[in-house]
Parts: sequence; structure tokens; C-alpha cells
Amino acid sequence: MLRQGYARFVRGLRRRVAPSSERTAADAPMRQLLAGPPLAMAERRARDLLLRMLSGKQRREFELCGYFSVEAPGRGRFWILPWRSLNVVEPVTGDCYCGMPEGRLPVYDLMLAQKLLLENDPQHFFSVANRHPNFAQHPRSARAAAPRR
Amino acid sequence: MKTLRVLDSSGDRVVEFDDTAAWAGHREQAKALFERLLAGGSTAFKVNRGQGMPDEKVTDFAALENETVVVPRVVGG
Repeated sequence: MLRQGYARFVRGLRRRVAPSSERTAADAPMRQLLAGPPLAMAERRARDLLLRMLSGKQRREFELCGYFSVEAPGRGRFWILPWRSLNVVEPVTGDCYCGMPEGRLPVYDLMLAQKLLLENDPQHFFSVANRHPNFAQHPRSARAAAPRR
Repeated sequence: MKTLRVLDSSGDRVVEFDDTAAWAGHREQAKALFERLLAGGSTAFKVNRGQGMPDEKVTDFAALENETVVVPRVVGG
């Protein structure tokens, strides 16, 4: 159920961040609004790099679902989803983690950075990332419970 | 030829260098960049190491192999 929900959400996001050649004409206004040509080029470049860095299993998962799994030594398995915040999910608990490199990186660079950190330096990632317990399973109630400013 | 990839808003910035004397200038520039980035909180990983060797975090410029990815300082979101 959780996985299906993510897959649906990811499909929508993929349309927004996919290379221009993969977009439909209906996406054009959104493309101009959200991602001008330089950003689209950066995303394409970042996607190529990410695909080259993924293992065979991760690449198949990414091409099929838009996200992939990583094994963090001593911490278990995590999904890395293609959006900018709360995109590292622990499937067993639904906990989401938000830890990202500084600067406005393309989303695929962000995913690559998180993959490298989780697989090779998880202590560093978890020492700086913010954890949102059970957020993936109850995002609305979690937001409603958050204090308003 | 060794490659240093620094993730940035353009996707990544590539710096190439070699251990031969002909590339000494490039090597020094790459070393200075690498050390500056790590001093600023970036993290570097050896990738695509061949022979099934896993990626690995690296902090020493002399230990760099064919390809290295430098991730900018990570912050909580």
C-alpha cells in the first residue's frame, strides 16, 4: 500500500523532472515555470551520473519505480525518493529522514549524494538528518499536529 | 587520468588530473580544490572502482583513484 502510494506520487514527479525529450506537450507550461532550460540540462546531466553510479539492481528499481533502495550498514534498508525533502524513507517504520547537501542541486544529484552517504558514511548522514517518525504512513496527521506559525 | 566530480547546481563540475609531470599543474589545482572542499565540510567518495570493489569514503588526496564524487556539506532539512 505504502509502496503503491509512492509509485503513484513518483510518476507525477518524474514527469516534472524528466529530461525534456521525455515530456509531453502538456507539460510545457510547467516546464517553463519550474525548470528552465539550464535546470533541465543539469537534471539530465545529474540523471546520467546517477544511473552510472547505481548498482544493477538499483538501476532496475529506479527505472521501474523512480526510486531505489540502499542498504545502510548497521541501519538496514532505506528508500531514496526523487524529491527534495523527507525523501529518505525507512520502509519498515515509515520514518522519513531529511538530510541534503547545501546548494540548489538537481534532484538526481541529491539522490546520489544520499546514496553515497547512506552506503558509505551512514553515521554522518544520520547525525545531521532530521527524522520525522512514522511520517510516510501518516503525513496528514503529522502535519496537522505540527505547531502553526 | 583521474576525475574529480563536484556536485553542484549544473549537475557536476569535472576536474581532471594525472600523476604524470605533464599534468602537475592540474594536479596541484585539483589537490587545492579537494582540500578546500573537505575543509568546508564536503565529503568525498571513491566510485566506479572496478573489480566489484565497493565505493568508499576518502579524505586523502593521495588515495584518490580513477573517479571521485565530492558531495557538498550535508545539512538537516
